[in-house]
Amino acid sequence: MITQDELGRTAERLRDALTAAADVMAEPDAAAVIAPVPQRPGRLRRARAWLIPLAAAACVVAVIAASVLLATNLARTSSSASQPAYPGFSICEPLPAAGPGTALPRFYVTTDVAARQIQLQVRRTSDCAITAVVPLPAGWLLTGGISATAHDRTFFAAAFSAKRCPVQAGAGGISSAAHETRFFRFAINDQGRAGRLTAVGPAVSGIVGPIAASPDGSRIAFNAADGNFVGPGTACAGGEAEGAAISVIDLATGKIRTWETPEMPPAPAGTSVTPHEVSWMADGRTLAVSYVWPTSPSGPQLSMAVAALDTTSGGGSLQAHSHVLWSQPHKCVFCVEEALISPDGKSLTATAIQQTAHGDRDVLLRFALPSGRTRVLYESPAKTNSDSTFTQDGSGQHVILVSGSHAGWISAGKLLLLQAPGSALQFFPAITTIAW
Amino acid sequence: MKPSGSAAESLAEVFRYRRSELVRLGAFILGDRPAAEDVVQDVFLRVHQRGDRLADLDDPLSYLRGAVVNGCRSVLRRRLLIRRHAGKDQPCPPLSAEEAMLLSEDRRQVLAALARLPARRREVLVLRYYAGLSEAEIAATLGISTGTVKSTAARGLAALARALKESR
Repeated sequence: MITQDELGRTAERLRDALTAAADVMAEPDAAAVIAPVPQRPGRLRRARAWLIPLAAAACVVAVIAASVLLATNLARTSSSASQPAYPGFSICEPLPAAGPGTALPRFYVTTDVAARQIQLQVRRTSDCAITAVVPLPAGWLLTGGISATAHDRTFFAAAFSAKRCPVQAGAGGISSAAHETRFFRFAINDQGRAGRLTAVGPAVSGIVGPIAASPDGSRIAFNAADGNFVGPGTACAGGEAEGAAISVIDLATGKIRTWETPEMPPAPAGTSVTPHEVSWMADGRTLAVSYVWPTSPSGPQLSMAVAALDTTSGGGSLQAHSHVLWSQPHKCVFCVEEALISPDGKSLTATAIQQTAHGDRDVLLRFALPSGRTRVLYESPAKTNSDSTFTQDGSGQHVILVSGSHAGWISAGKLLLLQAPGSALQFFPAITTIAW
Repeated sequence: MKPSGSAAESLAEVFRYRRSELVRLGAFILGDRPAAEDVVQDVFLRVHQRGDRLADLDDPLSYLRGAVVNGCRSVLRRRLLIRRHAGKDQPCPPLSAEEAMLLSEDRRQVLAALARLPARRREVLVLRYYAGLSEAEIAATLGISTGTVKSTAARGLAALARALKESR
């Protein structure tokens, strides 16, 4: 005799088993079915192109070519991008019932760089609808991406002005030395309407890299020597690293503190490291800095670590004012590409590459600190050749993953799309073009 | 009639974003992923060739789900014939050995028990507990009454519970 309790438990077990099986079921990317892309055998782990000077010129050409193709595609599809083609299909998935933890941000900001003037678009999470458009000043190029404060109603962007784009298309890439970056801020209300875009703080020299607004929005941390930028237009992207430093600007006083990173453990002595992402802990004092270094003098293979920097120190050497939180094992199962710290400092969220028999996969992980215990939050279907990046909200609980032209937030192991194909979102590996 | 350019692009968009979901639905019903991929491919091909206007439907996803379920039934009927006359039928399991290893033993048992249920019960349970459809939606998808959905689901769940109890 089967009791009602047993039926209820069986229903739950069935739902759980089907969901888990669907999650692990490898499914070829539909895009690959539509337009097969030949896989290169034995593809090496992707390298950050701006870290390899010899590859810089090729990288710029490739990025520009990709931008042209992307823009062409956008021009072709933009008329249908603003709303789903069929009323019965929702690209933005229905929001789940409120569960434990913090609420999902109601809005997110994406970047449209296809227009003649870069636009920051505020979108409602529940249906992807655009609730506000915030254009950057005409002729300004986005660098360092966009970032939200802990209170997900204030956003920052970094940009620089250029008379023409590409700014300087030389064999060695684009020099950032002749340019200045400005930071911009805007706020949104409960309806997703945006206030004015306001320039904040002084200009800083050079084209800065990834930025992170402090939880209270009073300071901005940035990679001072990344040099990547994008748009507006059809063939305007590129850049290369010049130096290696992390800076924090106090927006009220304009004071800038900089920590240089010639060498950092656990990279071997004499090996230069290159910083990349920065992320704040909730205390507004500790900054997590990820950095990479080549594992061999000539190869593109990189190793990675994350250090905690005390930003109350006066600047100087990153090594002297930080300690290592986590580092990539020598032989990685999940080879981490980007890592951001949680506000409580108890974990790192990271994107990684997992090499499988079905091809490389994007994996989103969470590492407990200091144990390093790993939990897989999301595993993509077998992939072809798209890069990925991610951003997290002020709570650190809600993650947006961008992979190729897809962007979505991760819920219970699934990627719930936030963006219609062919719509304004464009992906540039070095720049965060989406935030919440 | 072939769909117009914009309709073809929209169909490609639907294919891109719903194909995986439909393949999984078919794989759970058939217990055979390659066959499910074929079914879904055929469904989209037919829609494309006939120039069906999904946009005119109130619920195009439901339409596609129904088409996939019908396609799965055809596969099951063909299998039955093969089994009767040739005595062989070797469907590929929905998960590879590598993928199955990622699941717990308990989940594998549940999926194995589900695969042994009669097709109609399996269809109803997969639509209910994987696709998350209501009884009315399942009825519309399968072309049966909600009463039949209720009774089939209850019997299917009870059979599953018994099978799992016996396998302990």
